[in-house]
Amino acid sequence: LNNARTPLCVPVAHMSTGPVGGGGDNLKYALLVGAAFVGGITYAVITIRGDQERHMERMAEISSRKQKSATKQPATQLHAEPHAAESTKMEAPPEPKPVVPPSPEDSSPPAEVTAPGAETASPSESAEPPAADSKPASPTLPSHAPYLLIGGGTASFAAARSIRARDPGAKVLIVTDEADLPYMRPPLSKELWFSDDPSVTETLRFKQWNGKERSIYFQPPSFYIDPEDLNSAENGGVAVLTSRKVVHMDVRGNKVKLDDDTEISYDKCLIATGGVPRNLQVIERAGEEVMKRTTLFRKIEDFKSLDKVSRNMKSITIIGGGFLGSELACALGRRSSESELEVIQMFPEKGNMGKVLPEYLSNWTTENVKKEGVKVITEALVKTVSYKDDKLEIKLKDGRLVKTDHIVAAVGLEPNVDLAKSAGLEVDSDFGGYRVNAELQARSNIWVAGDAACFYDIRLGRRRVEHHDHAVVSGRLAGENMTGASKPYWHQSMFWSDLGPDVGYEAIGIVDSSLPTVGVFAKATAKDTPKAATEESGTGIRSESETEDTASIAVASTTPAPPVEHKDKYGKGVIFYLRDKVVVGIILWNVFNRMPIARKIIKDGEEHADLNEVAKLFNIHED
Amino acid sequence: MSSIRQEGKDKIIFVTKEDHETPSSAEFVEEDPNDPYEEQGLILPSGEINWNCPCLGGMASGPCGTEFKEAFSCFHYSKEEVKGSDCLEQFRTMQECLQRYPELYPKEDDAPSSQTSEESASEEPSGANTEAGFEKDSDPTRPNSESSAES
Repeated sequence: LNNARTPLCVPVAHMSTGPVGGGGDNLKYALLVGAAFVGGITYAVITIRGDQERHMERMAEISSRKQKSATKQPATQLHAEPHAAESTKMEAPPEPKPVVPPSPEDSSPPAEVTAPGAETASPSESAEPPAADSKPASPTLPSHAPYLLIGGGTASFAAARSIRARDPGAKVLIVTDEADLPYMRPPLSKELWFSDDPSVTETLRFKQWNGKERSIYFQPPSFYIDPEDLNSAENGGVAVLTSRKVVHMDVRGNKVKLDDDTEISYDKCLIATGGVPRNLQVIERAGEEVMKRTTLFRKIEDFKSLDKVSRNMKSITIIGGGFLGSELACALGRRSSESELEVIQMFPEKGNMGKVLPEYLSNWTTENVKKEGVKVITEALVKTVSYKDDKLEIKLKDGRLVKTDHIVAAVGLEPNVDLAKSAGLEVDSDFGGYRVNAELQARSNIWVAGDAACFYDIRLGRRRVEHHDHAVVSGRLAGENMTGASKPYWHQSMFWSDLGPDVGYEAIGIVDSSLPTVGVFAKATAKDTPKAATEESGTGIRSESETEDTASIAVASTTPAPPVEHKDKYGKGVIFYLRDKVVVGIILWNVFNRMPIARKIIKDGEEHADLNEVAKLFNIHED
Repeated sequence: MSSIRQEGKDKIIFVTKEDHETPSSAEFVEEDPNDPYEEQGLILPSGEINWNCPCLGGMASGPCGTEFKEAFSCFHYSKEEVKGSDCLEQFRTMQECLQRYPELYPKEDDAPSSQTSEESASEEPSGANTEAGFEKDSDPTRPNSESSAES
């Protein structure tokens, strides 16, 4: 155990710019004691003058740390002297750490020198507390983090995990401007809305597919360690610094500055800043009353506020027909069946998921969204929004007028590249986000993952992906590369969406409705759609030829009734997206557990002559 | 009998079960088991343990990660007849650590060590259910946590 740990302290020490200890052990410890003594006094004086808050915390820290064994102390103490004079730079907390800890572990020669050290340490300690007591406590942040992760979302957490798994005893510091510990986003627009628990907005717990309940938080607070304890943690850990924003990045100096002027230096840094929901210009220009009644949905607080709105308002309009907009529409639509809530969804495309699904499927999906109780207005371009008579009035370009109480704008995500300027990092002009290579690296020691990363996918080309699984995959990969792996983005991430009980799909790769597609669907025969038998579909016209086909077969079978219009017309199937005859994207439509096959097909990147043959691999007729 | 329809650039094929009964003529490119880019399973080609394997859940990265790694490494390299019988000390240390974090490692009937075997690489250690749940996070609504959990 000790062998594994001792090497760790050496790198930590050498990362600072102080002198390296020389000579024999005796000299080292003598220097160290002397330095600590001088440093301790000097620092104490400076701290009292400068930062009283930090100081009090430090005192509390020291007394608690006296009990901890600290083999690292000698190494870190070496830097006490040179850095004591710098009041701006916050050094590693153990600085005035009393030399008491080393004494029990060292051999007798240093013992004589530790005695004076201990004596001097105590007076300085006793002098401080009285003064410090009157000051409010505040965290003593590490001034250096071997692994600094900017952003506290999915990608960041996945990276933290990966780093900890690969680098024994790694010390990872996550800095997030949110007040929450890392959590998963998908349930905010899915499972949390379907919970039976009335206190779900507080517990933020949901039921998974397997019936097990879990919190949206990746880990409970006990998983993490306090940022103040990060440097002294024997086996390292993950610390999260909440409600702090990184405002400046100094790439040459390998350090960042927070919004409270704290500076933290790093060895490896991950930028996982995600993005900020876009808004419509017409809403931004519409004034305070409109803005007050508009939700940009992304975080836990947005979920809580929208939940409240849905219980208090009579009408909510969602602007946007993509994943988020459609999922929220379905979630709210389901609620509308229990209350008087009117749910409207409007977007410029011809159907829900119009930018993702081929037209026929987008239309079919729209019908399903309508069945969830949503009033869908397609081909809607918002011209103005105004507040009148306690209602919001949305005027469309074609003249239609929609009156509502509240708006949810789900019109895309603006990747957060605030640090690009100070850091001198490239921003991609096509996709937005930080431009990184295939290994997610922007520059030496800087990686980017998640929504904010525009990366080079070896197989599919340069892209930027805004999905949960991509955040996990890219976060993991960044973590691996930060610990020396040098792997490119290779394991293709997937995504999924559920829009009501009849539309559930998983997808992988590039799924863009502008690409040519080949969809292979299971032809529903009379015997395998019992539940659909009683319902008529709204898409009757196109399916006439199908029913005629099935009619001739059904005559021979035992079912006397003519094959009915199934509402599951596009019940189950696979849709291939092609680029230059190669499959670059696949949607598994109401067909589950086959993602590895889809992943393989994309990875191979082969030209397949007959996609029906490829579709056979999925066994779409089975469950 | 399958039916094919073309709607602009989109082709739509309806197939019956019988249509799909004949084996597929589509071929896969052969996999390279030693491909360094691929997601690795629990054991790397070198014989070492892949601590980043999703199958381990967060056991190797949590607060008891070090203890877990010690115990499991010992088990992995154990040459005893009863594999791991020389690792009791490490497992005990690990157990002690796990007990200090009941939130993360809830008490279950089976000890985590017995489940974290190479044979059941796809199973999550029961003692780390909540932690392990992370890997399934990427796909909470689907069985067999997809994506990054699959290797």
